[in-house]
Amino acid sequence: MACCHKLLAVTVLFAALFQATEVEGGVRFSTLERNLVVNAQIQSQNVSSGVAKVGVDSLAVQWNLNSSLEIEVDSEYASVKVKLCFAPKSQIDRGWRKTDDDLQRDNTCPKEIATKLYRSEGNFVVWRIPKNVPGGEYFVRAYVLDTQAVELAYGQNTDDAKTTNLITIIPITGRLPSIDIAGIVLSLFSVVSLCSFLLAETLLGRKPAMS
Amino acid sequence: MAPQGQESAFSVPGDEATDLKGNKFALPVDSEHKAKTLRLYSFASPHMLTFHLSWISFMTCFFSTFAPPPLMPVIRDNLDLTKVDIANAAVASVSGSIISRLLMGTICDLAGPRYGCAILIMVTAPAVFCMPLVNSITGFIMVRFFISFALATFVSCQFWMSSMFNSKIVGLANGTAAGWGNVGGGVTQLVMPLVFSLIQHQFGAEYFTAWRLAFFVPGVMHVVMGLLVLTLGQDLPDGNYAALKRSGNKVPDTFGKVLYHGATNYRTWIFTITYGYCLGVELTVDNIIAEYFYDRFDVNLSTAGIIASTFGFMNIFARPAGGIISDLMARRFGMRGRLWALWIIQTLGGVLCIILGITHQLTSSIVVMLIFSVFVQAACGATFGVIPFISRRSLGIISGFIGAGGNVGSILTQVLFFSSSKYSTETGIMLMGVMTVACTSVLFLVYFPQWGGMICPPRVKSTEEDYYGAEWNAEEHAAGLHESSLKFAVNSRSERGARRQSVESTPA
Repeated sequence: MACCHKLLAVTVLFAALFQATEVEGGVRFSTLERNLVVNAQIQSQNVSSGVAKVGVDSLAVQWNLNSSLEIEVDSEYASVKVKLCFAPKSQIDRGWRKTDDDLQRDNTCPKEIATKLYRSEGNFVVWRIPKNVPGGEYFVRAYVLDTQAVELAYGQNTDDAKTTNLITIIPITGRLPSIDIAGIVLSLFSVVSLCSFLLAETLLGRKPAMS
Repeated sequence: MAPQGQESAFSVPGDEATDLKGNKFALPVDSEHKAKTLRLYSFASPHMLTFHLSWISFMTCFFSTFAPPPLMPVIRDNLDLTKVDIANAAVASVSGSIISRLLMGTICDLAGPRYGCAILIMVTAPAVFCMPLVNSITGFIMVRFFISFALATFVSCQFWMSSMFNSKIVGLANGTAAGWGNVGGGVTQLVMPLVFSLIQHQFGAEYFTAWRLAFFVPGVMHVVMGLLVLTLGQDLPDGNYAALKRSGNKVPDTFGKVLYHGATNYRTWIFTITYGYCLGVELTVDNIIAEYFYDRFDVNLSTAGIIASTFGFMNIFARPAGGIISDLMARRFGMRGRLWALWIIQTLGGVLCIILGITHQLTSSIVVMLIFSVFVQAACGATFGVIPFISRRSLGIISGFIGAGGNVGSILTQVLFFSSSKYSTETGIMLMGVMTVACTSVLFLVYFPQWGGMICPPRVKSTEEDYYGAEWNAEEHAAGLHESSLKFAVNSRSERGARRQSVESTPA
């Protein structure tokens, strides 16, 4: 019993010690200024659908510095990282996509669209949506980074509440006809071989039992 | 000495025992031809071959039941699941086996454990093959529900061990087979992400296709193990049920009476509750732990799987160790020692669960989880150190109830703490620990008149024969139906502990 108490005390001590180490946080989103203007459209063969299909359609994204700002605001801007981010509707009840003000812990933007050197205007990229993007509602956000890759400012194609200009993406199912067929064949094999065995043993068992 | 292969009236039972075909047994056996030792490195037919077939098929079922959780980050994006959806599927994954565990005892009695195990594992294989076809949360829940029927192989496994191994080592055989079977929950966390990664990168499959292909691994394992059990397995040391003539030793009993005596014994329900907080906690953790490490500590899928697998792997020695500790305590302190050992181990498991929930750092989380897993799994082993003594007449049904109770405990904790966004996963883990400590305290209510309880000493002049004989009414006593219970009662005097062994009791 005494050794159990000691073990417990040591465990609690270790746990407490390790909790004291704090991980350094990243930049806080609320401190960033919205200095970029970002636009995004779906480039699709089926223009009227209003939704984007993964693997087939693309997103065209443009961004430039907000022209009404002071001239020197972008003196430290080195590069721009453009990301595809979940809209609030796709985050409900999905804690793994939660928005956190600390950008190191933020899970809002899972996919990177492009990383380019900073220019105040004339930025344009067309991105074919990859097949591993899950279905849902998205918006596009661009972070401006300095030479140390620390976020300085941002822009997004939607309003602050993230309700306008959202992009709906239709995913693939991941199913293939060959998988369906293989599954059915193996299931039948399992059931049929079981029944054959049982039948064979019942019929063979009709011989007189060994004494 | 009689020549080998020929039996004489004076041949010594054990070393020269032969099966019906006249072949000598590879292991020393008792008068029922049950093995007296457990040689883990041997595959000798029938005892050790059965042991290995039994635990590997049980492990396969654990593998397939808990195959989705390590791939959940991929599945939840493919099927667009919410936290509630995932929790509902996790509840479904431990629900099916409640029904199947209750039925499996009867199936083993009637058709034999070989058929019980093989039929179950091959009939649930189509459910595993349906997982690659799932398109929505409804399909996902249904498939997880039907796969979970396979966990009843626990009952056939224990039944088979009890038929093949002598009662002195049946605890060790059962604990080792059950523990190694539960390891399937750890193996799957390791293997499924690796298979997924292999299929995705080596074979170039799409992200949302690769996880579907990965499920053919558990499916094929089901089919292979089913065929092996059918071709190599054997119900009893002397052969299969259908080929043997039943000897007169088996007393026919009615299902109604057995059910009545099992259900009216209050100890059944106490252990149903406590098993819900050792096996139940283990099943819950199998369902949530990979996703927990993936989301909370930002490790990748394979790493989360490796960490999560260590939880299941502790079963290799933790569950048998629980049984051994229970047996060691019983030698000195009898049944009271078993109860105290179980209470201490399980309560410490609950405390460590609380600590796991409040640990914020990755390395210390892993360390706490490992220690926590040892205690939780040892508690499962220690529980089955007590269960054989609760009742003799209704042992099968009581084991079924208590086994099902493990699943009910898992459902309860998952519904209460892990199904809504009200609690974060770490808070859920902490609350699960609190509930474990609270529910384990009902062990204080267990009292055996002939051996005592945790607090109270045994009643003077109460004997084992009284306790086990009370399960049979006067008519049945007169007909001599209670004889095997009396034999067991005499053997169970070891539960008095070292001090009281010399107390005399009137012979039957």
